[in-house]
Amino acid sequence: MVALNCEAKPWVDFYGLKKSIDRPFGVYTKPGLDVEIVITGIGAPCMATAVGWVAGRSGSVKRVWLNLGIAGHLDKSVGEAIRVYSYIDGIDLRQHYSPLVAKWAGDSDALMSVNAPTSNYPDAAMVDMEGLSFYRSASMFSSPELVESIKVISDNQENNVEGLNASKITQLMESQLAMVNRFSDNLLALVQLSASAVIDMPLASLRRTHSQQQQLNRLLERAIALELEQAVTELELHKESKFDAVLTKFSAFIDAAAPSIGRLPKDDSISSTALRGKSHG
Amino acid sequence: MVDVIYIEKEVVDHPRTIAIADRYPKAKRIVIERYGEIFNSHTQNFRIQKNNPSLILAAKKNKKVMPTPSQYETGGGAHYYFSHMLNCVYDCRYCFLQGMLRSANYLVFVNYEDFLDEIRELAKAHQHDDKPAWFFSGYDCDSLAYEPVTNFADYFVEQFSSIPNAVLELRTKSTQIRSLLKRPAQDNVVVAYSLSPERVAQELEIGAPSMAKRIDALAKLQQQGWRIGLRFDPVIWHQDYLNDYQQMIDLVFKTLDSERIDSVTLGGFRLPKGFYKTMRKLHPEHWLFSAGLDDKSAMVTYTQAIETEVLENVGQMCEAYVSADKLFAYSSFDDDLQFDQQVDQKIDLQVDQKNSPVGIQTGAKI
Repeated sequence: MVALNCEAKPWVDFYGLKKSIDRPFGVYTKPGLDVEIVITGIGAPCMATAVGWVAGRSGSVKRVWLNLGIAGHLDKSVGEAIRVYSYIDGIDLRQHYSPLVAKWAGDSDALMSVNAPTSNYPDAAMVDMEGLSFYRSASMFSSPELVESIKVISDNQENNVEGLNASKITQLMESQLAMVNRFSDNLLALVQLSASAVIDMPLASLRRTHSQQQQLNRLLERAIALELEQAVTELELHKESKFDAVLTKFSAFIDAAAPSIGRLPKDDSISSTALRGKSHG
Repeated sequence: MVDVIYIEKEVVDHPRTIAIADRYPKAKRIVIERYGEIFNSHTQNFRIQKNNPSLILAAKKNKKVMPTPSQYETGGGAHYYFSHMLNCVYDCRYCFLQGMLRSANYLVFVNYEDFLDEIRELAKAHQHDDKPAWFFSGYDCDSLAYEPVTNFADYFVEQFSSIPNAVLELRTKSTQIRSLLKRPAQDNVVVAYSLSPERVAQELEIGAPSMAKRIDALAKLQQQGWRIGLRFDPVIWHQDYLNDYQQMIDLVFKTLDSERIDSVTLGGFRLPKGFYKTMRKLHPEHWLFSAGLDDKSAMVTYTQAIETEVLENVGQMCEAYVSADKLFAYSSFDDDLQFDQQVDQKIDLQVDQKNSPVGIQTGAKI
């Protein structure tokens, strides 16, 4: 999520993205690539609207959110890339800390978001116009560990904001391309997706209530966790005449199944999606 | 390795804060007002944070030492527990912390002296009791696993030497016992190890030392005269559990002097329902949350038939080596020994309210 085209340009070029949507927000994508860049426009309302729009378009897809952009700072060097560890509301000064899980090689600092460009730099924070809005909005759609901001210092007390132009901003952002890409890889690694296992169970002809379907789904989930996919198909549950009988037989089988340790793969990775059994019907 | 250390403003200059933070010279230090600003917001994700936990150094406010459920006994009189730390460097799949907390960051309370003041006060209140007051550590963290950083045992064991009517029990899976071995064994300290068969440990106790290393640590402690306890809790039901537990128990009791073991406790896998639901969401693919469980009441446990079977069988294995008066089993199905229901209440760590740990359950001698 990037406020300006000139801030996004290095990544649009790097990934070879094309503009696929023009309105209400410019979206750059590439077929087969799980990265999209959204140009939100300047300021908190634009950012919040864009985040909501993106989340609404993609439904329940798991995603990480990264806000890239420029920020001012009292004394940090122009061109330095800084990760945001907390977001400060420029009006009430409330501070919102972001969990920092993905590995980042550079410095980090607080970020104060204000409503208009300013040369009044806070004492111990960067300053921008979208960061807080981005964090608050994106955290409504993903765990806060998956919502991050990297800011590149564009101005400070000695190099004020008036000297900035689109070309200069692109140049500043481009200098941090490799570092930001390494970080985004680390961030993406936090949402490794598990392949979904499926048990084929032709039960379409049996009527069931919503509650019964939920019970079946849970039994399927347990069967997959216990690696009993084959054994379940051999139960021939489709031969039962009533859904109650299916659940009773299935449940008795699963309840009695002791796990076999050692045969199962060691689980020490993160899975962000449930393995889902699928019943036909 | 810790990348980020959050430090409460109040303890920035505390000598223990400085010592701990200095262990991580490359870590980013962020000063915060209160740990609740970063720890355990309801939107956080324990599993994601477990990839790279941050360290939080804070002061524990309010009550620091809590009574355990009244029925609990392993031979002492009054029983209390305290937690100088929340969360653990290990990643045990059955650990209730995943269900209780939303944050996997290591939260260390550096004001050990305040904990100790409360412990001394409580011990004084029990000075005329027949039995010593028992203080447990290691239910919201591992007592020793972070010892090189926190020096927790080094400090508290020394301090307990001047509280004769109190016993400190350190619950652990760790082999970080240097701070204990460097001093003479102390009568009022028990080091209690959680043990699982090697295959269970490999599968479920991620990051923890192997069973063999834990037994080796136990042997070293016992040889030096330390009181030791064994905790087969939770006993994990699986296809080969009889063989796996028999092998482990044979090895444990052939390595250790069973006459000098303080207590042995057993318990089935059990969790408050709310914790169970959270943990199942974190690991929907894991067999642990799908095997042999009864989730119809406030506590999710093995079904009565399974729990009774595993506790009886493993209990009998232990009885071959250790006298019955040292053997305790925690049953979920004894009417007189129900779990404390308060563990399933919603917690709010930001105001320092804390529940009884799930690890402390009611006990019944076998």
